Amino acid sequence: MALFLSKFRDGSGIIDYQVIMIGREFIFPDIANGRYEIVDRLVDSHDALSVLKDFLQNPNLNRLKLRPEAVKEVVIVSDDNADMHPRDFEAWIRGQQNSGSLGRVHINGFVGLPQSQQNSWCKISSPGSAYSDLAADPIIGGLLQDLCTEDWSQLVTSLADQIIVSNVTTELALNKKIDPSAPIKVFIDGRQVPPAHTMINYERNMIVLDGTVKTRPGDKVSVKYNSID
Amino acid sequence: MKLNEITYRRSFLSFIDIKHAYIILIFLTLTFVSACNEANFKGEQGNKKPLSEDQRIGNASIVEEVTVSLNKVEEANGVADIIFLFDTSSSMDSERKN
Repeated sequence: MALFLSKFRDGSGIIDYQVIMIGREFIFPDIANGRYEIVDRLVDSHDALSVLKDFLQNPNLNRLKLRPEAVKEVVIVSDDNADMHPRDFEAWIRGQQNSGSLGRVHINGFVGLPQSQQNSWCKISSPGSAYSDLAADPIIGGLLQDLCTEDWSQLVTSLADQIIVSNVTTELALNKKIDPSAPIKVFIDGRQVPPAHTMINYERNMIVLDGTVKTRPGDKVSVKYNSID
Repeated sequence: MKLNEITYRRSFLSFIDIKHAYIILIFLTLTFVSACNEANFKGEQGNKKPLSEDQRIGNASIVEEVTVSLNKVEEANGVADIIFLFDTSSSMDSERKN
């Protein structure tokens, strides 16, 4: 965990993070870090998504409060599959997002995969196909990795890199007031940026590209939009 | 019947016929014009397709070129709440669980 946290920098660094560990019967590292909390709560074989739903609906029962502006990077660690259908969970997420009570969510995981190599120290009860479905979603998907990978430092490093990449955004201020009723298209080097990776901050009159969109200083970004000026 | 009376009647009948013919002609003209208008309207309606996104955005849109600045202020810091959920029954060995 120390390795995982070391990838993020505090405060003015890359990611303004909080880490919440939910589980029971684990000996979680006791890290003196105000951005880190252990929540003693049972997560059973099949109910990780139900526990997550409940946690997101009652976030204020913990010391660390979930922040409305923060992307929720969920990491499921399980050797089993979920009992909730992934489409039902996705529909619930979208409902929460549409009502404004939840922002962006990414589902990551260390779960059993069909190709997992089982051995004396790692046995998979069932591949996490529900988590695979969610992780493959273009909007809420994240990084899914093999629970039976021998070197976990590799898993946590990849996870931290993925979280950094998908959360460091590029903000581009526009000169004229954006018309919210018209669609917006963003192009980099003539190629359209998928709308799923483009957000619009109407208040600040900005286009926000998420971290999956690679930009470098000096890149020319064309934005096609209607103005209400 | 006197000759005058016959002439009068004939001229009266022809007057009536001409009047009828005009009325019928006007009626037919109005019906035709009305039908044409309706057909034209329906034709317009039928041909009227909703504007595509490209047409809408192409008609009155602005194309603005923004340069990704050297100024790092534009590259905002992400804000993330990272939530791990550990399945208690997961069959990892104790070392990995911890």
